[in-house]
Amino acid sequence: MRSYLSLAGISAKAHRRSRRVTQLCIMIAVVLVISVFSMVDFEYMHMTEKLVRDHGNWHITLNHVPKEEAESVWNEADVKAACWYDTFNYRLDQPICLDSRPICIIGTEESFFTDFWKDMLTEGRFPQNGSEALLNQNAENILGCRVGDTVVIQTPAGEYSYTVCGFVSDTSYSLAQDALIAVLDYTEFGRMAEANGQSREMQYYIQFKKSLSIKKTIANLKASHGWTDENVAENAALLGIMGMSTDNYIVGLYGVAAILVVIVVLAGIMMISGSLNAGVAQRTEYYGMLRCIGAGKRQVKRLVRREALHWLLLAIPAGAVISTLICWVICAVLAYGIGGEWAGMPVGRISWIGIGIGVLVGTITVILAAAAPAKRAAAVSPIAAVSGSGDGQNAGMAKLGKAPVPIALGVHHVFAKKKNLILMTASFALSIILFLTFSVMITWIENALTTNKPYSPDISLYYSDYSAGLGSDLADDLRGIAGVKHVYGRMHRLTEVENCEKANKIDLISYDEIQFAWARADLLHGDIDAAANETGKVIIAFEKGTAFELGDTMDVNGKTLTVAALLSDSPFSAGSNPTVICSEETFSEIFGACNYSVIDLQLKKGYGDETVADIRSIVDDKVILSDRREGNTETNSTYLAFSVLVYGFLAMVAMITVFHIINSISMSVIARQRQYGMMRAIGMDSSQLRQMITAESLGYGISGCLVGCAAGLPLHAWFYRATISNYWGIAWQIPWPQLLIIIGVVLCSAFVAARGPVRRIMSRPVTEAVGSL
Amino acid sequence: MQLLEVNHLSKTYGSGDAAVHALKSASFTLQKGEFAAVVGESGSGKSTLLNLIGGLDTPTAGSVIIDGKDIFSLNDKELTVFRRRNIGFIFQSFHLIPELNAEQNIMFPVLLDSRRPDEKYLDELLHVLGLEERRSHLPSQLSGGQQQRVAIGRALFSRPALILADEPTGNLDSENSREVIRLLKETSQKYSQTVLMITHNRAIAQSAERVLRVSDGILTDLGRCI
Repeated sequence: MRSYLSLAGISAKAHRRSRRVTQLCIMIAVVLVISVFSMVDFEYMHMTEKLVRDHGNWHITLNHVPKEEAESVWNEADVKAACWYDTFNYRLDQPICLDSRPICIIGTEESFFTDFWKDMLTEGRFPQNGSEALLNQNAENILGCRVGDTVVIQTPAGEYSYTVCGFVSDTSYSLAQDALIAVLDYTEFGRMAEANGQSREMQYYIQFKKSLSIKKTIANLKASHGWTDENVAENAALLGIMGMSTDNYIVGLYGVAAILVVIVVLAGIMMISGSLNAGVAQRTEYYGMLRCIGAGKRQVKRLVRREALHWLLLAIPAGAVISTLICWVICAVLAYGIGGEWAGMPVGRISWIGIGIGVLVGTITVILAAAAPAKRAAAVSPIAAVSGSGDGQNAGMAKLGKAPVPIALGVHHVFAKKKNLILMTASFALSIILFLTFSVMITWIENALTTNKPYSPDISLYYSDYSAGLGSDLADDLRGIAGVKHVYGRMHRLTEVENCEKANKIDLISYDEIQFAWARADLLHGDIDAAANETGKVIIAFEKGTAFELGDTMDVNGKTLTVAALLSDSPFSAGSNPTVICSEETFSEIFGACNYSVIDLQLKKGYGDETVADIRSIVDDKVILSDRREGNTETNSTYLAFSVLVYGFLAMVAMITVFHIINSISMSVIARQRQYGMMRAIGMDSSQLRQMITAESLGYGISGCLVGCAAGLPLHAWFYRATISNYWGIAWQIPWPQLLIIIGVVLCSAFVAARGPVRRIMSRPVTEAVGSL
Repeated sequence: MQLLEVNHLSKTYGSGDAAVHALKSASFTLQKGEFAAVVGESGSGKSTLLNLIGGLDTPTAGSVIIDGKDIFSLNDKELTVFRRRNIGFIFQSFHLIPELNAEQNIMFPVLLDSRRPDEKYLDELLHVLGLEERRSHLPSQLSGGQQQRVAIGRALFSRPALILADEPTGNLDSENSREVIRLLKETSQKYSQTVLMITHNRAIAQSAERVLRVSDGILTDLGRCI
């Protein structure tokens, strides 16, 4: 023993068992921080890989820059790879066709597939000369062609014949557009583009070597060549995640992590401080004795802080192991359970950044949490040791009243120390406020991420000009295909309205029975059945800024339509005109017999590409078959991941609440154990003791609930209005389920919290409890 | 040579009708190396006197001068350091640090003073106190008498000029009590330390060189006999 501070280590080891709660508090804080940052780190790795896959591994493109000038970049910067790229008929709106379907033409160099989009080439090789072309997999499926086949592309300038030398994968965009794509050698592309009079929009893709100085390199290039933002386009997503852009995803992600960490740190400080405080209260005479034998206030403070840091040292290894295991489980659930865009989440890796930040934040948390207890310990008068005046000397007089004495005493303990009551109430209330505020996110997810809507189609069929050419007989045929679950069509017409102050034109859309049934989930006001069953009755989807109300009328083509219901949401994106939904009967009555503009299909589980091929086989070649399955899976996996995050966070808040309440009550009992020992000595039995402690515990719980609700509900309402009501028109209501859950958690925890300490007190001899300080 | 000088020391708790005069204008002096006992009924003001002399409590009036220093003229930090270096405390219920062994308990006040413990003196003290065999034992592994001997060792180790003992034998049987008092007298003589000890035990009080009685807050110097 070389210094008095060694006492901290010796004391921490000696009290390892009795200070389990403190250790557990510190460990939970460390686990939470490491988990949050490890997950951010894993998400960073995963997002980087995903962005490279989706957006390409390029940093900038040069646009409208002469060839020689663009290629001079090789001499001026640390360029790792570069290639030329150009496209025409990207929107499929020109008469450039393959097998009479519009086709998008891309011209590039081999480096595009070897350096920038490594996984894109799924079969074959890059065109070696002007007579070869790569096609996308959608073209392979639609046309049934193979490597070595010859395809002919019709253009206004004539026909171009190519040998298929391979296939490239589709993106969710090309699938949703049902697009055909041909990739040509860059020289051949130039020949075709020139012959067809296409204005060239050459892009030069560049990947730099040193990722850390990209920002500076870009600025230098712009300055030396006089290039503007029009000339230099950044890969915002990739640069963003690398921290090289200002408006980016990863900054947001770190922001969320920072908010979570602040909450965790606050909760951690609350838990650890409470537990250390109780330890100090329990050892008043001990600190008094230290002061008696010559310890200064600063020395006592240092001892308390050092002891807390010793527990931190004990908690870090366990915290790192547990949090890493938790992250592995979460990553495995995301990668294998949810899949989709999360399929690439790394499983089994260790995040040293997460652990490092966990240790750092854990240390800061413990130092902050130990400040108040250390001050309290240092303030103990040395006379406390000689007089034995540890605690409870200044307690006010208890009002026993008519209630049973143990309950009256328990209630008295709640109000005896105002500061303690305020701290306990505030900490319980904080849990309720956090839970209520974050529960708004559940409603947000349900509304913002549309894939969980029952009406989301897997396949949509329509003509490129959205003409009403899809008959009900086609819908019937489609229903006959194995694997098709639902087929639902919509008639559509953009039409003028009369005698209506609120709109001049509307998008009138028809619904069939199943679509009306689905719409019920989004009903704000009114009667959907009226619109479904009565002609002339319509429903309108809420859009921010629209002023339609129930009972409003409008005349369309001489027929009066009355608004019978308002929806919070609809499958249609907001256009400049209001979307009005009516039954097929109403639509036909206004415009005569009509075909569908769009037919949507949902597939049964387990049915996939074969069913899509069957669908394709019975529709007209000119019909666009928009395959939304991949996009849906991506959104679906995002929805699931967000749900896991939000529910996980709420569970974490609930868990901290339970733990904190049990801890606080336990500590409060420890601080009074001499008093309780004395009460036992004069005849208080275990059930009376339990009543007393339960009354105290419930007292804190109830006051916490009252304050928590008083502060949490207005905050919930404000947050709800800002994020939900403004966008979907759903009025705020008291969130009874969430409120009952968190109040239930608080009160049950408060009730259960009394059991452990009572059992512990009863298991000790009265004499030991009386002289326990 | 005079070590302790107590001048008109008074302590009143509360005010007005609720005022309790725990000590009323107590004055006395102790010479270096003197062994004095304070006797009196429970609640008579003995402990208040000891706490005031030790600088644990502040007086309503009067002064305490130890080795020429008025301890109440010192600020809290200076008083802590002064107490650490000049006053040794021995309590009725020992108040050892439960996690430290006998040897560590004894040298702890010196460590608080950021000094290196004098190993030779430690060995000598352990020998005098009969604790050589028990130096590595925790307080919970020692008998009451042994624990009080450790407490005496702790009070002596920093070589304070004044040792204040509050009923050091209150928790011990008669044999252990005799032994502890013998050690206290022996060591204080050996190291020329002044001892002021509260006791209820008439026989122990009689063994002191000087006896002070406190009754209803009034101190009377009984000299060498009671």
